[in-house]
Amino acid sequence: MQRGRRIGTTFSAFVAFVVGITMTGSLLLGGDPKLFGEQPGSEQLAERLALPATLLLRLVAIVIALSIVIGVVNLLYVHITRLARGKFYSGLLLASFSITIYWSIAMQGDTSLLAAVQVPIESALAGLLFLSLVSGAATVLAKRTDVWGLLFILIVLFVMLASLPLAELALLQNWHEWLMHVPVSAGARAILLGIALGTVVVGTRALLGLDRATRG
Amino acid sequence: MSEDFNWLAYSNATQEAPSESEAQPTRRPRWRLPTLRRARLPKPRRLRLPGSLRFPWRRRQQPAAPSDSDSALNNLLAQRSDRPLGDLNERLRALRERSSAAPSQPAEPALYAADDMSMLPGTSQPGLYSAMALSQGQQEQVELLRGIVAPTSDPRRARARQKLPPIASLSVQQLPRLLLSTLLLLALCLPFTVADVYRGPLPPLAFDASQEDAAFAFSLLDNLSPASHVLVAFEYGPPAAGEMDQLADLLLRHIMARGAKPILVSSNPIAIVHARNIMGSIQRSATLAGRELQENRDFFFLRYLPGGALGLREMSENFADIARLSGKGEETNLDIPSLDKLATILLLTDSAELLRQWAEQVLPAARAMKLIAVTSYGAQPLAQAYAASLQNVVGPLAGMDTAFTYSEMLWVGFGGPPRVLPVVPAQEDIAAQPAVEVVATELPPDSPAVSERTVEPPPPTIPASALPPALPPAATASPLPAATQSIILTVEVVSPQRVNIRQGPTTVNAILAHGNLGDRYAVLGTNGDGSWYKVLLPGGLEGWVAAFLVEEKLMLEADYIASQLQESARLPHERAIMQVHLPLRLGKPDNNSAQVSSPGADSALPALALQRDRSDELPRLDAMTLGTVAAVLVIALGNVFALARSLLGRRAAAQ
Repeated sequence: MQRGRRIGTTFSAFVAFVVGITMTGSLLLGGDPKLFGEQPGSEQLAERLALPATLLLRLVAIVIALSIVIGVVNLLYVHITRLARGKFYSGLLLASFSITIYWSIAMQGDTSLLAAVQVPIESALAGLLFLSLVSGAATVLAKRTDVWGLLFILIVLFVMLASLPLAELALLQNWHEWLMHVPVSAGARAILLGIALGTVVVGTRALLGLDRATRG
Repeated sequence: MSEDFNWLAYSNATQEAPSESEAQPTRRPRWRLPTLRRARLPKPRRLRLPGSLRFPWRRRQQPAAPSDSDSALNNLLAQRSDRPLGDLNERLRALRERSSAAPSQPAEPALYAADDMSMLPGTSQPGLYSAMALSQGQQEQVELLRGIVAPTSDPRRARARQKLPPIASLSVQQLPRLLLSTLLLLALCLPFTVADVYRGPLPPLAFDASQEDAAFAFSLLDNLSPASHVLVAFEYGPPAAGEMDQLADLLLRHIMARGAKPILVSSNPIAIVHARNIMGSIQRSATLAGRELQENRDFFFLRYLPGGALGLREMSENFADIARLSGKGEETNLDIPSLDKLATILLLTDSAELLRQWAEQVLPAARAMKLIAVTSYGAQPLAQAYAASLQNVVGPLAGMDTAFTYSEMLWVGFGGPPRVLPVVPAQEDIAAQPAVEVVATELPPDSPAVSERTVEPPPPTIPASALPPALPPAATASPLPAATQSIILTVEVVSPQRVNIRQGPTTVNAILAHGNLGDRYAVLGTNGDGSWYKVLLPGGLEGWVAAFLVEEKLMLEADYIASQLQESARLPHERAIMQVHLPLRLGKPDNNSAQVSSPGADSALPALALQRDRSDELPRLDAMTLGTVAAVLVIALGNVFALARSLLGRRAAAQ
């Protein structure tokens, strides 16, 4: 049993490694025809080199599409199970699912259901979030009276005031510009750098078979 | 699944013999199908009003008899097998040991039933979050969040409230929130019900110097060739629809009014359906304007792109295949071999992450093409930082004020009468850049840097005989604003070779455009040593050109505008837009600038832009302003009140 598992682990790591290297190499070499200079035939060469990446990407798209189908089937299974135990909202979900499927097939792509139901409901929920956030922000200092809470509230008020289109607040608007362009921009870039570094690390781990997911 | 599942204890089960309580058979295998016999309808309960209003099936939340596990989380936890200690690295091993040493939580029935999991205060269940090894800081954050979500967790207040009758208890608990919500709703709804309840300064009639990305985006779309294709990525869902629909609608109308053909695509399945709604509205407008728009001829919907970044990558690599079929599986007859054959890409998104994905996965395949980014307010700060670092990304455009200005430019550009605004905004940014306005009699040609010659705009006193020749017919046909009679400083390219116009005053900065011998640009300023001129490019963009490549020339502003109109605007409505746009960019904000001529009958394009219902634009802007004022008041007063109460409470406790 252990041996079989090890073989499986090794095999899956090997597959991940080969696919990853092929994909990376194909994208790097085939992505830019200028890599091979302006010589005749360089574009064809780049296209050939990009072919493995193209094929793998198509496979990925098919797999992802299948996973969506599996997700739908699993969702239905879970909620049928729950309905059998008397969960009302699961029944509601299944009924909505059936109606939506029937509607889109019978009405030939009519989107009025989305426009009349889903968009208003989701927009209303987003609006309710605004009310909750304002309510929470109004009481935050009662829960933690410290300098950070005060700083948070002051910045919230400052940003909201500066976003008002009032000429009397021109000074605040200038500071707001600075706030957005310097500290916020710096933070955003730091986050992006972190994401990029994290992606490189995760990619390298996957390629080297160090990730547990690729080891079975 | 009804008993408390201690994952810490479970994780050690592979190394130690489980204790009796841990080894209880609690979960049935997943493959066991449920039978109808197991379905038990709950008995109806006596309804207690109003505080305990609840649905009968909620009875199952009571810690009654143990039931089967219906919690996906429990299943997940039950089926996981943690790695042995030997497999863990040092950090994870230390974490595991620390967790194992933590005191286990007492078991409570019905703790992890999915419907019962609650983070609300007052339900002091030692739930999953407390079973995990949270640090002290994390625990404090959890408590803070619980306190903010419902400020009724104070046991003393909760006990006092329990003594009240249900209706009074409900009122005391909900009254502050009810008042806050009413105030906010009133502020948001008032502009839609009462005319002119509040009217602050409205956004400008044309994009000014502080909105150069928006001006550039407008210019890009306005210069689309008829029958060219624009890839429009609809990447926002229904929650952002109220905020972004207006701008999305305008941009699509602009594209189609120029005769270009949008190709709509999305990696969000709901968004692509929502895009159909917007396009349906445009189709109806077009029908009213006397033109039928047809799918797969005038616009295209491609299939949904699953897989996030991978889906986008697949589209960029296989665009020809993806563009072959529509979302309904019909032939589109699009013959576009690759993305770089498109005119431009327009991305509408409510997430900065999606902008990053598009810029990384799609833009490289589009080569030098521009991507116009339109984001929601929430995504704008992060998106702005990202877009600023990329040369081919224009924007992000965001907000209803941008939509208002865009709408106005489009409206006037397509021959609509200018809007009569009650309040004209102060153009301080433009007024702060009067470097272009000089008085001819005071300025010798060899004077020092432009910035030192800047004068505040008094009307120039130039004899009529000294003026250059009159405007060409194309420009004189539509009377220009009076402000255009002043003289501006321009530079003319004198280098026989093509010159680069860059983003900044160094050769390291990116190239924005190229200038040829004889090209003229209005000067907006210079750098410190006068070695670079900041110039205004056609389309509204600002760039820098090296001083040794150009020569200073003085000319009438009207002449300059006329020459720009002739060069860059091919059609009458483009000239109309430029007539609004250029005086504003040259430091001449003038209400009269909107009084431009109609494009006339020779405009071959349908007047789609005129058909849009703009009646809700002003109430929306007012609601946003009033809502923000109300929110600021609520937050400020609420916190002052809470702070005072907190301090008084502390003082009373100290006494």
